[in-house]
Amino acid sequence: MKDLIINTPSLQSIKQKYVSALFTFVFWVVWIFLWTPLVTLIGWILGVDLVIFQMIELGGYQGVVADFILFLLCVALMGGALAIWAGYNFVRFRNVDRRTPLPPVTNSQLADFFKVNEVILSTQQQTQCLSVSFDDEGNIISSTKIVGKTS
Amino acid sequence: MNSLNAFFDGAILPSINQVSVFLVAVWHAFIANGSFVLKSWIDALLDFAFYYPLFMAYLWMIGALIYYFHWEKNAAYDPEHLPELSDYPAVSIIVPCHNEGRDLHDTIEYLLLQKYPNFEIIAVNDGSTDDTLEILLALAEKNKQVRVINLELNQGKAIAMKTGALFSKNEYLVCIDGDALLAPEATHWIMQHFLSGHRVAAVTGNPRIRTRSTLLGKIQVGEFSAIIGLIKRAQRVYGRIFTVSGVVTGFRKSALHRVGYWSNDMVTDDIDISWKLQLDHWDIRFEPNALCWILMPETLGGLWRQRLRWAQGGAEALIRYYKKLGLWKSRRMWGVYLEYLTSVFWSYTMMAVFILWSLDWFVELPEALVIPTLIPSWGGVLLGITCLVQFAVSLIIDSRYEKNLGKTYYWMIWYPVGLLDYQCLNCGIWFN
Repeated sequence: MKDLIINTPSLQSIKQKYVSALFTFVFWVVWIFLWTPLVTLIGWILGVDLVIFQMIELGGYQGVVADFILFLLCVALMGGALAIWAGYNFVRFRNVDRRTPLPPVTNSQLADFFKVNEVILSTQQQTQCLSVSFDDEGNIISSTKIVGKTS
Repeated sequence: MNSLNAFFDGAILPSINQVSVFLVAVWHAFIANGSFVLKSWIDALLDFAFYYPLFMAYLWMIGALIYYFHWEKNAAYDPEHLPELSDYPAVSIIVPCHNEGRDLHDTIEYLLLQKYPNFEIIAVNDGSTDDTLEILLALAEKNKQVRVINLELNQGKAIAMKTGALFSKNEYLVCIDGDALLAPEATHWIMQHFLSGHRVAAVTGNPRIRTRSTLLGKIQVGEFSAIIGLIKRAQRVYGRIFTVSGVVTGFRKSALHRVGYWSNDMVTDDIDISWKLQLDHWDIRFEPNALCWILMPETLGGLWRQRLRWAQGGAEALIRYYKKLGLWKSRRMWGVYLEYLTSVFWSYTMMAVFILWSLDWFVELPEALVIPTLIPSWGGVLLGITCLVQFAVSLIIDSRYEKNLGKTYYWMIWYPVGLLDYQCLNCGIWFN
């Protein structure tokens, strides 16, 4: 069954599309001009003429713009500094590895640091459930295996 | 009784009177001569109080955008599509628990869903008084991957994590909080960094807020995105970060061993370990794909206590490390240190400004000390625009990690209020 309504705008040429869009736009602008008295009234109520007088004719905008430009400059400087610093580090260190890799920590190192027995440590590392007691300085005194209900 | 009265009236009162007259005279002389100098100082401080957060906001945004365009925008991978790693070394996921009975079951069950092929879970019960231990032992019986270490008395998070690290035979650790839900792909994402660089000592993940029911919850969602997310990215672009997120961080044990693991006496272990590692020239990375869903306080009291702890941790780090930072070899940390120091100074400035402004309503202040208005003019417009832009930038960057993040945009208007209060906390900790 054929569609009753044929809606395939993509079949137009580019020129056709743009010309029709342009005409539509022009007529919308003309239509808006019909509203000029109402828009003017609203503008007076909102003080637009006063704004134009103060900011443009008396030059009030210059101060604001100057401040804003100064602000933009500061932001650009700070952002630029960060970007340059990041770029410098990227270029200098990107694929450079200046540290030799450390081997994984061994049990003897751990036993030294935590002041525990190395052999017991190996067992502790295999135990599933442990209970640990500490002294007042936070050093491990002893540990006991927690036995489960079913084992 | 009479002689006591006489003594008081005859000797003490006149002396007090004379001293007061003297002090008032000094005050007037100070005001007359020092007024001009004081006024220019106050003006400078007011300008600083206003412009510092404004410019820092843009710095964070620019840094975050650089990070985003370099690492995130065209990344082939997203949180659910994992890269392939060259190797899968064993990982221990350490979960220190203290009275986490309510959320612990969910945390551990969720952890068991990790997609990483080679891991164990070490849950450290830190002297809990509730049923945490029972829950953990029950979980350990059902799952051989779950190991339980019970500290008979409460020792603190640092010792709990050190004990977990000691009883793990693996080189790589992922430490999360007892009530956090770690995304199943997170370990993968974290390990990618450890395998790609020898110098990587820690990888901090991306905490997302679960608690969004109340206004405070919604504000914190934005805060984590707009503030913390941007800051972490910008700091990575700079090269050094202020702190890892203690709620989800991966560590390399050999690096931890070199710096002596976590300190027992610091209120926030995450800030402290980050500084220790970076001052030892290790690299700490940020991985936005390593998501971790966390619970944040939604009551004012809870939030206040948490933020107070964070502020205290920052201050402790400032004090503990200022000597080490004077060395040339620590120069890369200067940026981070100075920024935090300045932000603490800003908090005090804001507090002083506010106090002076409020005093003016009750007391006749000398002209130099009068704050004309708390509401800036065109600067205020700029500030308003900056807020909107910052939140928009952060939401755009973060939206790839969370759908529908845009809905929280409406609540962001509360953030400046929260920011002000939070910064004032920085002052409060000194009186603590």
